[in-house]
Amino acid sequence: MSTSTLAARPSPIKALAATWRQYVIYLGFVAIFVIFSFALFDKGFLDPNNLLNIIRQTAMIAVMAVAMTFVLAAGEIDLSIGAVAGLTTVTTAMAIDAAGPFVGVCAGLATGLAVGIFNGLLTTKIGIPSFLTTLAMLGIAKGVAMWVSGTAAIPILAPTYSYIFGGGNIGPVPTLLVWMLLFGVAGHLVLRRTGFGRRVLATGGNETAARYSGVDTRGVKMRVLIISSMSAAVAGMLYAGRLQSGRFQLGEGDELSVIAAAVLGGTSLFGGAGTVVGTIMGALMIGMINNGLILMGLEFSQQLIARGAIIILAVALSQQKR
Amino acid sequence: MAVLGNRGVVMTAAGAPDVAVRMTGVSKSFGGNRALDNVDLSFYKGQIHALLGGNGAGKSTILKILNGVYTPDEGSKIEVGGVPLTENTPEAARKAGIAMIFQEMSLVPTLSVAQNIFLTRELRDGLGLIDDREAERQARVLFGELGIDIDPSLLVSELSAGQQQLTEIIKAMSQQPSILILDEPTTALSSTETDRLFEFVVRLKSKGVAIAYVSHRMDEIFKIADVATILRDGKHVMTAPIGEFTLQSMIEYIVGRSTAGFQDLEHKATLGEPLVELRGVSGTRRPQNTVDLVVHRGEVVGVAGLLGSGRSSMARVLCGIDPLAAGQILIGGKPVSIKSPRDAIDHGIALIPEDRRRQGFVAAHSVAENIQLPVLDKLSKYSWMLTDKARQHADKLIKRLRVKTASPDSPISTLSGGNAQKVVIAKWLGNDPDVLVLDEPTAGIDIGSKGEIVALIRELAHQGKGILILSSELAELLAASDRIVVMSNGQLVRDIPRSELDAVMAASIDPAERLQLAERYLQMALQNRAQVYAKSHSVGPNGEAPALAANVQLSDAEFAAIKAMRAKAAIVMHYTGNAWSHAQVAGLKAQFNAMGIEVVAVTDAGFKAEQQIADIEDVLSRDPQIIVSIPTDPVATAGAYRKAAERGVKLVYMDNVPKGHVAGRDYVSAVSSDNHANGVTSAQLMAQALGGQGEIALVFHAADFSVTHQRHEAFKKTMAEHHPGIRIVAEQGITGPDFAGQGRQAAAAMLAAHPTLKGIWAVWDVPAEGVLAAARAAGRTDLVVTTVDLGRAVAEDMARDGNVKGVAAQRAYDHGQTEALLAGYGLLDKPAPAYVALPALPVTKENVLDAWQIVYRDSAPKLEQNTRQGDFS
Repeated sequence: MSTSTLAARPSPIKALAATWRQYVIYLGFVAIFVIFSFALFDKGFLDPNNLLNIIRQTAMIAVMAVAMTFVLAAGEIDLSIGAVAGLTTVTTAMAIDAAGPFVGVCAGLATGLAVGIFNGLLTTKIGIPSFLTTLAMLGIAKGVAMWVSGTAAIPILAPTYSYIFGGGNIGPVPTLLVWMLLFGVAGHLVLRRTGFGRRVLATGGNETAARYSGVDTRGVKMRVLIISSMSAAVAGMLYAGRLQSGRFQLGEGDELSVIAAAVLGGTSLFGGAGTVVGTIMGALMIGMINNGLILMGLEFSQQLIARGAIIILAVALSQQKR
Repeated sequence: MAVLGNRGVVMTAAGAPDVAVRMTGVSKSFGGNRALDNVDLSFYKGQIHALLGGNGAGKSTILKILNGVYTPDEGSKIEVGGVPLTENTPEAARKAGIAMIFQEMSLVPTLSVAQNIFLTRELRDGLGLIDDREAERQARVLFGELGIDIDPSLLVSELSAGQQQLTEIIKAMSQQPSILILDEPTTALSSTETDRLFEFVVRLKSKGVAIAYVSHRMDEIFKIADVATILRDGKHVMTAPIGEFTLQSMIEYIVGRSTAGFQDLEHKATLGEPLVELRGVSGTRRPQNTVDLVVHRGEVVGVAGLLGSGRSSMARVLCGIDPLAAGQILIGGKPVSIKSPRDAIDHGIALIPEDRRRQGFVAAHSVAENIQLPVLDKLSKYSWMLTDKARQHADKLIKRLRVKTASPDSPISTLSGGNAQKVVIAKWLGNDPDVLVLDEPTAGIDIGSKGEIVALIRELAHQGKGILILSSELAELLAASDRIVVMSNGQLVRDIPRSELDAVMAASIDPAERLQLAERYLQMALQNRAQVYAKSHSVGPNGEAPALAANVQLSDAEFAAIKAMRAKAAIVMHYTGNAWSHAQVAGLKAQFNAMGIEVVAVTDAGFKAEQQIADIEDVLSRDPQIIVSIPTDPVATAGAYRKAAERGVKLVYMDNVPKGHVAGRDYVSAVSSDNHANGVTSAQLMAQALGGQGEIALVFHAADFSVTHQRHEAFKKTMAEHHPGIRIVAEQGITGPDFAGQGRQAAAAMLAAHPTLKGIWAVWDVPAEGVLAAARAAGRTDLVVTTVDLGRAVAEDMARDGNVKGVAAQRAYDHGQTEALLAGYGLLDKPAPAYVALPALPVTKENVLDAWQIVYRDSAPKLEQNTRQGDFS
């Protein structure tokens, strides 16, 4: 038919000029790594053990952030994860003490599942915004954890459990790295390459359009909230394994780091867009910044300021000019 | 044609086309309101069937029933391809072969074109994973077959409105529907895009697809429809082949009365003075304009141009939304600087934006509130809304513009498109602007309301306003404008005065035909330049008896040996946000400095065990020989400290020791204030201030933390054994990290529950600050507060003779110094006491300044001043 075109495909250079902001997280990660490598070359930053430390410290955040990517991409939010992780450390530690590691793991997962179903039902059936549902759940989970543990730490005396859940090393590789990779790869494939992932993105991108296209948007929201709580439970079990104890305060406040990691990695707070790889990079970048600033010998107040400034810079650069 | 299906126009033996959808006796009521009344309607394969009617005629109700969004009333029958439709859900309708293109875009903007087309029907690879490349390839084939050049890998948000519309249609068509419903498909399209769409729709028709077409644009209906059905007030009025209608007759059927439609304009002999003048105006957006244009008083200037012609860019510059890159804007002959929408408003320019719902009004607000919004300043005095004046203002404009609304307080979202647009115009008229810029003023508005909006524009011009209308609907421009300018690629390419159009229209006396002639003329003018546009007596933590801090000493020779080591130390705190921690670190740093030891890191775990573990791991990377730390959790952090000990790091603990760690083996020593003494001292100070009588409450630290625990126990023991007149009536544990906030909450609740409360003890100064806030809020200037730690706030309160009557101070600076010295013991492998305690320092208003000096080795000038004031008053 007509020879005229509605829009020409942009040239590769123009395309790159238009899309570089998408890759700010990767550029930022490399830039910060290079800066720290030079600035901290005599302060042990590049020591393999230090680098593994960053991964150990980031793993729980990364595990939860993978799930948060799904939640945010679906246009929802989950503020209860830190408290759920804390509650899970308590339920897992108590169950291990009473019946052994296997039952402990089951108890941990059951904790996550129960909270997830609760969050999901309140959000999708009653229609309470997930922000409020999960904010309320944050308090409930923390309260339950304090109550059942009597605010005391519960020691975990199960070496196998601690080995698997974040305390051990396979050769030089911490099991925490294995957990992080497991979640990262699975999360990436599910979000990018499965019908469920696509439905998540569609639900967050334009809920009405998704519904009209035959997407069970409520089901999607229910599932992402369950995935989020279950991941928080896994993160809680990792905390419990790494610290060989359960304590209600573990994971407290992690929700903010998790959301920051996902947003740094390019996930939209408004739904519809997000990548698991970006999220993992976001989590690692936050971990790396924390580590580097401590190695620099900065005062805590200075660390906070520097960290905030770096994060603002990264997010500002990734925003399209309006 | 793998996906599209390949049907010819199916004819029956009798030669009549096959019925795709048959609706019989379809009704729909909302409450008592009958939106659709017993309508019979059939759609045939290979036929374009236009549905016409004003707002409320029942068009959208029919579409929503067909699409499964609404369930029709009992007795309604719908058959698709001869099979009755039993279920009423969007999913069932879609499966039955009903595809609808919505008026609002129903694509997911964050997904690609191909991902949208195959949404919920994703193509899979051998592993069962989504194969986007294959989807893009198939989408490319689909687009190619229909002659549409859209890259399926682009995100939908990157497409123009027209491309999105076409994508929606392709998406719908990829499901091989038997009927395609198009609801106002051209609203967002330019005229070339509209032509492209029409070509496409005609091609679909030839493939045997039944098409239901809803539009307010008469010209479109006449151009492509085969059959038209007119609905009015939920009833079927008539169905007839398009040839049996004239524009005039169609409008009459729709409106239900004889109307003049779009009338010719009376000639204007003279123009008013120039009101707005654009001289070589250019914005920063592409395409860059260089526009010269004058709008006179009383003149309506229509701006025609395709999407991307620079039409909207010009309006944005004039209205201060985009910056002026070059050129000059004159108002009333004087050059003005318009840098923001506010400037434009101040110069009497009002913009009625194109996207009403997003830019024009606040949907959740009432009609009156929307009208009042731009003139809130004028309707209020000292920031208070003058309710009567505001109401009169809204009522006046509602009347003047004949806005049909149940009440001025009805939400604007309940109004029809035409009335909502009137409200938007009313909003800006309230400001009495000289210049009105209207961008697509009648988009998505029914034909009856369109006439009213056009009449309103003419009336405003008659009142002497200068009006600029930007529209892609030529009929509207012709009906309203005195002069039409055509824009292309950022330039004004044609200026067509009314007289020129009148000459064109002179060829006919039939109003409909005259309009068509003028439209065709304008169309040609547009296409001439149409170009392709592209977009805690304390025992140690393990029960050790305390050694005295004064006995911790190093000889000069030992000092020299330590200096020669050039050792590195890291300070791993639980928290650094209070004066105690601060003074500790200061004492540590000063002493380390004197010993020639470099402090390589200071960390703050925010009372979080997992953070502290990370901090320990991090500081180990700096290879320190010394770590001085206060474990935030004796159980959880034990492993991390163990690792440090195994690496030979000399550990000195403050206050708390990790579980299982043995002094002399795993660590050098632990230092703490005499927490038992602190608890005893703060209890004694409380009893003294209360005269040994009264009810008190405690705010304690609800954590497994020996220091705070010892204080708490010592306080209670002292009260129980020595002060029987004092009763503890309430206790509340706090966990942090917001100790001040939690302290305030706890104290507020205690004060409310126990009005006879005479005193509150807080476990340390930060929660005490919260207790002070709660006491002030409750007006309890008599409440006695005692605590542990001489924080700034409690010190000032005490100096001012406030609520704080006594503090048991920990000698924080000495604390730090002692730890640093003990670290030196460690470096020298000199036997150290397992546990060192620092005596408590009782502080009251009388000795607060001296105490400050002892605790912090620092004077507090502001505190001094307050004390003097206190002494004089």
